[in-house]
Amino acid sequence: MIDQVEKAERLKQLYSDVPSLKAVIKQITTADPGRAEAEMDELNNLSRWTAKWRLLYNLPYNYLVPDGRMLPDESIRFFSIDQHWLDCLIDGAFSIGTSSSNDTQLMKALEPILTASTKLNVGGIRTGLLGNVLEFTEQNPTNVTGLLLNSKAVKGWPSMQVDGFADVAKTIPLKLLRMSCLSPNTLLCLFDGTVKTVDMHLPGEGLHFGFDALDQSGKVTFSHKMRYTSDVNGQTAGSEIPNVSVPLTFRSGSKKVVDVTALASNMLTQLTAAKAVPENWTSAEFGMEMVLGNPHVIYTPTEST
Amino acid sequence: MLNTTHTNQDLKIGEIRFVQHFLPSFSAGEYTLSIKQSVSGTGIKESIPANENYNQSHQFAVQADRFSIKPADIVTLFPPNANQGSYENCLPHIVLSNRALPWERELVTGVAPKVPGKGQVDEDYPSWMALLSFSASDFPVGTPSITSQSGTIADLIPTSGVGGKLPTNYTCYDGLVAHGKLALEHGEALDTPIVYIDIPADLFNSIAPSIDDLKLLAHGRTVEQSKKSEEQLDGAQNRDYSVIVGNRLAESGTTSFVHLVCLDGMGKYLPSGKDYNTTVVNETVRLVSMRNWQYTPRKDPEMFEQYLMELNNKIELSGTGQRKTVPDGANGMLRIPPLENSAKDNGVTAVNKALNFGYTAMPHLTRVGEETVSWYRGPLLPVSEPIAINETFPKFNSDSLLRFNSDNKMLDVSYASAWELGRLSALNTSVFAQDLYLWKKRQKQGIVNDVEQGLMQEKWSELLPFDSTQTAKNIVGNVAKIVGKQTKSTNS
Repeated sequence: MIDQVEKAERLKQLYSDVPSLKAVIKQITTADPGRAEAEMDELNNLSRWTAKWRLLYNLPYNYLVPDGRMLPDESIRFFSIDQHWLDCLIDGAFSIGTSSSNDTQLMKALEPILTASTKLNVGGIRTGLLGNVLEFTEQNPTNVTGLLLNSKAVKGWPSMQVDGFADVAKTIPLKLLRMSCLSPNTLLCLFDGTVKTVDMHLPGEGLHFGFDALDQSGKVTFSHKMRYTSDVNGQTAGSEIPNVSVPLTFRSGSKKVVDVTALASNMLTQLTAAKAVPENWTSAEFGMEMVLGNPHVIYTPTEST
Repeated sequence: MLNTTHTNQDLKIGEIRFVQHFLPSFSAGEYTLSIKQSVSGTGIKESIPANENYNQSHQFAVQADRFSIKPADIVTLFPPNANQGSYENCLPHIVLSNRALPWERELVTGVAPKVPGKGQVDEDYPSWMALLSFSASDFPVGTPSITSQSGTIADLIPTSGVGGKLPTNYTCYDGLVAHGKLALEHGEALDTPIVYIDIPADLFNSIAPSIDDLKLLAHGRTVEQSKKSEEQLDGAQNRDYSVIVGNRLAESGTTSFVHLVCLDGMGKYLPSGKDYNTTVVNETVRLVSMRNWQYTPRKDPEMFEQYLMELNNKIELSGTGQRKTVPDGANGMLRIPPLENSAKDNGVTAVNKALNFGYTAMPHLTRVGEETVSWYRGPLLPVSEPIAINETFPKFNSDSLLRFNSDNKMLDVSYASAWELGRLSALNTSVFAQDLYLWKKRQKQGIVNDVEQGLMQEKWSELLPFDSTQTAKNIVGNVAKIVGKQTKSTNS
């Protein structure tokens, strides 16, 4: 039989020394590869929760924005995330179920493991939502910045897209770590890196169709600017052909009903004349031609201290 | 950004591909699958009669929405419902998440999509759904305008014999009755609820698209998803949509009513010919409306870009009623705007310094029952670079994270609140709490086992079958290394 007194003595000794306690945990988790894999699964389950907290999921709004004046109606506000605040949060979460002094020693040995695993999971939360296999980011995001947008535009255009860039010239795109609505009018975006410029616009499937209106002393005429349908003459598909447009053809009567067939054949004539003959002329090309330019609104946060 | 490739190349981030159509593998209807097998040849056993045919047939039906559409299938209405904006120059459209829906039925009965020759693209195939726009100005004052009416499929079927309620002189879907009998599809019955609209013939003739128009008014889209908000994501990198575009502009200041109508088999009733002047319908056309919405073009717009351009501004109306925008003073950072200061100061400078760093003064009931005011700041800092603090964890209570601000002699409860919030969140998330508890327990168990084994080996090592030095050799690296290994294997 094992001498219980000696066992207790050894445990006490072990628990009094965090480094050797850590070594024992390492030993247990590495000695058996099967065990190590199960450990990783377990750890990943835990750290997906903590990673979500690090991305501000499931935290009360009042803790994020304690005063309404910080984010009034129709405003956009930028911020960077205080990682230390989140360290404190995770530490609090990790503290539950601790009762004896042995437990506290054990926590000192275990918490760095959870912390490391959490940070590796942070970058993968959104990747997972896109249906891709969760992959650990090579570098865990330490510099997370973002924005809160409180506007009727959030509710009115739910498919709005927000692109973040690390420079004003919009050449360095930032990885989106989180983009979700905290309330119908409030949108939260988190980026991996310092956001210097954001570009807000409507998405591809929400592009709309229409014409350019020209108002000449009350008489409105409509026309439509043509685009390249494929990459020709060094132009990319979808870009406008300078100075080439078609007038809008209405059906007879005064009901502003578009003669779609005539419009489509006029478009083809114009494209041919502009030496941008489409490879095919189908509903896809017609649909693309009918798209009106999409508005982009660009913000650059100005910091003053 | 826009692309109409007919091939299936990968889309780049944020890219959109316009697609001619997504034809369904099976269009809606009833099918019979027959299998015939015959056996012949030499050396076949006598028990199998020669040249006998074995037949098996199986019936199935392909269902597709015809008179209603699931709300979840509708992705976007444009212009948004009940919206006012500068939409005078825009055609309404609807985006559907079911990519093949507009081509699932025959606009002209019996005309199915043609199979293209080798190396050729498909011919455009007309959609059986259309967007019809009605304007308040279509109806002389005092006459009823288009109203959606609730009814049943019986309202679409002529009164003759089979239980229909459609008055004479109405043009409607005539495929619902065949050879004097009801010819409804699976899942449809006389009492299936529908919503329909009645359109006077001359109005229908002047606004309904032709078959050729309908070939162009629907197309498909493939959109790369990685820039969407989470509410819009459904676990796919690329998403296909179908889009149906209307054919009518709206007058400024006049509300436009848009109906997504079913034109199943109605091709022959649509206006045709040059100038759309060949028309064949009765006095009134009854169509099923699957979705309707309205919008009003206005000069003073409520537009996406308008909202976003005026962010962070207070709108002031001058005496002459002109809009003027004034910046709101927060410089776009998440903090309370600074308080106005006077010559006497009264501590405003110190307060503004705290507000500038994102602090808020919060009422604080201390442990001894004293009521005071303390500084609180959330995890969102109104500066672009993060601050670095080195502190060792774990803490065993939140009080050890309370800070005292010597500038203004107030407590800073930010980190203590974060710690308490973490604790409460963990307790509130029972799955996490249980998993964490079990994880800790198992680690503890492991340590106890390890100690026991150590003791056993010391005392009876010569009796035990394993070699303790070998076990020690297996101990490689540290836990960080396991994590590293996992990283590599997942990436590869």
